[in-house]
Amino acid sequence: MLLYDKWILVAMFVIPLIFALMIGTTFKEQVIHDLPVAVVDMDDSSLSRNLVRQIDASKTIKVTTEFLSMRQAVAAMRASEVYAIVEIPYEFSKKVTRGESPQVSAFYNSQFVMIGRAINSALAQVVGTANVAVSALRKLSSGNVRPEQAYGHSIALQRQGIALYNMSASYGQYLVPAILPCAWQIIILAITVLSLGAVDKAIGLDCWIRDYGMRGVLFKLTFYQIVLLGMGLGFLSYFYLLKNWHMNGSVLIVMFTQYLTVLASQAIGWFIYLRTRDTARALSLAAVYSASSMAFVGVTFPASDMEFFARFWRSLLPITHYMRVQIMQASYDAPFDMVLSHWWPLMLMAAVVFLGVQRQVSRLRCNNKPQETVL
Amino acid sequence: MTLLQQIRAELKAIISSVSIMSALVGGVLIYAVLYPQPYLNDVPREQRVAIIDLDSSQLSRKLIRMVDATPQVKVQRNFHSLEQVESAVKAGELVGYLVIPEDFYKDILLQRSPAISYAGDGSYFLSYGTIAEGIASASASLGAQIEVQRMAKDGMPLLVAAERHADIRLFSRPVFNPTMGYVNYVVAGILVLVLHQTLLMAVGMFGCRQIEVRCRHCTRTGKTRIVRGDASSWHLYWCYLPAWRVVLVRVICFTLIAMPLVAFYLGVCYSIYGIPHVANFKELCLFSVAFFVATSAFGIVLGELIRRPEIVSLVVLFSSMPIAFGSGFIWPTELIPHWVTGLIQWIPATSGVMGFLELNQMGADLSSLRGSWMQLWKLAAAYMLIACFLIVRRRIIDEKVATA
Repeated sequence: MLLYDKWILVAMFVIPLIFALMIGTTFKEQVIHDLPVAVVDMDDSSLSRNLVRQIDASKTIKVTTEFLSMRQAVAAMRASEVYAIVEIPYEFSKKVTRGESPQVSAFYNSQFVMIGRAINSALAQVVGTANVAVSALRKLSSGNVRPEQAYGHSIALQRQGIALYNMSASYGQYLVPAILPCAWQIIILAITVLSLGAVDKAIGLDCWIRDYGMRGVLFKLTFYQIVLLGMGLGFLSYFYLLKNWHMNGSVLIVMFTQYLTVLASQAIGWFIYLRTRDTARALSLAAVYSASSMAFVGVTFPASDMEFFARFWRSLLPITHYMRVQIMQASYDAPFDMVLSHWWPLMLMAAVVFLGVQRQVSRLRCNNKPQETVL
Repeated sequence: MTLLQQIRAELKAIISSVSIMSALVGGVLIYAVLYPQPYLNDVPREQRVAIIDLDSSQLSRKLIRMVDATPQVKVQRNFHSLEQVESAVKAGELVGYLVIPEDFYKDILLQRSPAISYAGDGSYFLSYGTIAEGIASASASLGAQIEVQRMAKDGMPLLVAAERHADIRLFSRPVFNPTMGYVNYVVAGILVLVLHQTLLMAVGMFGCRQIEVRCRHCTRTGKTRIVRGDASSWHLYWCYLPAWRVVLVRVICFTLIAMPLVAFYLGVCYSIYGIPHVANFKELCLFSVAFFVATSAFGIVLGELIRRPEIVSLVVLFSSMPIAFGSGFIWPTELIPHWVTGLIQWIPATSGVMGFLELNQMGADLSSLRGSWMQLWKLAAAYMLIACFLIVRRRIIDEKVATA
């Protein structure tokens, strides 16, 4: 019996599938749209209602409720029924016609930073457009200008932005390729620990090593490498074949980086297990080591803005190096020397930790007499 | 055994177990230190941007200075060609670049509204958003200045022009997290999730451990069944007391142990990391109790279903990210398919994280978040019932084994 434990099968096939399915569907909608927003329209004129319609027409936000007072609106925002409140002041329309530039106030929930940002820029865009329309109308009514000129005069300068390598500005395309590899690293560690624990429980790790020697170790490593790389290939094909996200570089380079990542993580898994010789405790240590990697890989928060300890800790996580290579290859087909600069740390990690493992293994002593067990 | 004796015995068993306490207290402490590390700087600042100035007029240089002055952007001056800039973006030295077109100044004077364009590395979306924000604010203020100058030129007094340069002014303010900081955004939510996950692990592992203790006792004494009133197995109270008492006492004990931990997180850690907290103490306590009762009951169910401590922690470990991304504080709940939200609302953390954020960060009161508070009690009731059922079922199976 190769596995000794049916839960390893669950960890190899069931958990990753459920995980990928949950994460994939959570980010099914690629861009933020139709976020509920409340409006407090104190003016209730045709101009203010028009502005409300324009807000509603924005892709990012949707006006779900109109409150009569700010008080009710604030309560709704506190209970996160709406993410923002737009207040149109009393005599809004009158002030616009008089050219007194009334002020529309917007309060957006920035506790959820990603949502707050999206709402803020959507509102700025809506009010900007409304401004252009109003001011173009004024200029037209003053005569002397052609319509296209009137529009040109209304904005001093324009700006255009492009998110390179992620043209659709999609959150899914930005987060999912980081979440799945981070979970994959946890799986590598978990499977390594579980498989060692199972052997330890069934025949004793020391006896297993005496009976099968380094050949057994190598066989075990290779077997799980194949399974884990299959998993890696699985999420790569999900990203670049099924979802058709850009892959400008070479998948082979990414796959070799996966191999190095598996090697380094397996080494760390062996090391942790041999230190504790207890599956539950080893798994908790592996969790402490890898569960927070998503925060450290530098995708959700730029690595250049991290403090010293965070930068040090992230360099110890194999997945950090893998992520950088994956992004480099997918986005810009980076030159080989830049890839190499991330291969070295992975190789070094694998080599150093395996040396440590080798020392731990050589200290194991088996007291039982050899048994007839099948590898 | 009276209820009080049972509580004392249970507390003693929990606290004297090194693996449970190290998972619970150790996990809570380590994550309190480790998790906030990447976010200590709170907001990404001074992202490196190159400028390609094709105009090099006085006005374009002014725009560059204004962009550089924003907290979001730091202008890197030693780039002159697009090729140079592109390779620097690939190497991660630059986040993006800004192109000021030829005849920028002339077009402004002719009122042709020239367009400045910028691009950034979209694979690091947050950095890209930061430079977009900086460039937007700089160009908006330059645009406003130009507009004011034009109005002044047309004869409007400067002070009036400064106030009326736009027909409609937008006053947009972030609330609850005024700096848009990441510590407040991510850490506040994640710490609650950490509490949930560690407690879940501890309760689940404790249940598995008690099953093991019973097995060991049975093999040692050669007994096949443990009955009430047998003095030698008096300490194995979870085997003979009614299932509802076992569940109730375990929930009470773990809630008692978890309360100081939540006090440590919300009191000490939030203060250290500068996370604002506005909740009323009494309401926070009431909500925490609901949260921990539901979580402990769920933990008992997990332990009974899985029965292997390491597998409990494996399952809990893998559930963390789907819960974090699905509970609504990172990605809006409105955009998540209903089957996912429907599934994860069975996990107490989903209501718990949002509830704690609404209470503590957004200043809601308990009456306005009746939804999540009631949801937690419903989950608590449901999981306690399921736990009782599972315990009774296991006893029946054990009994069958014993008679057979």
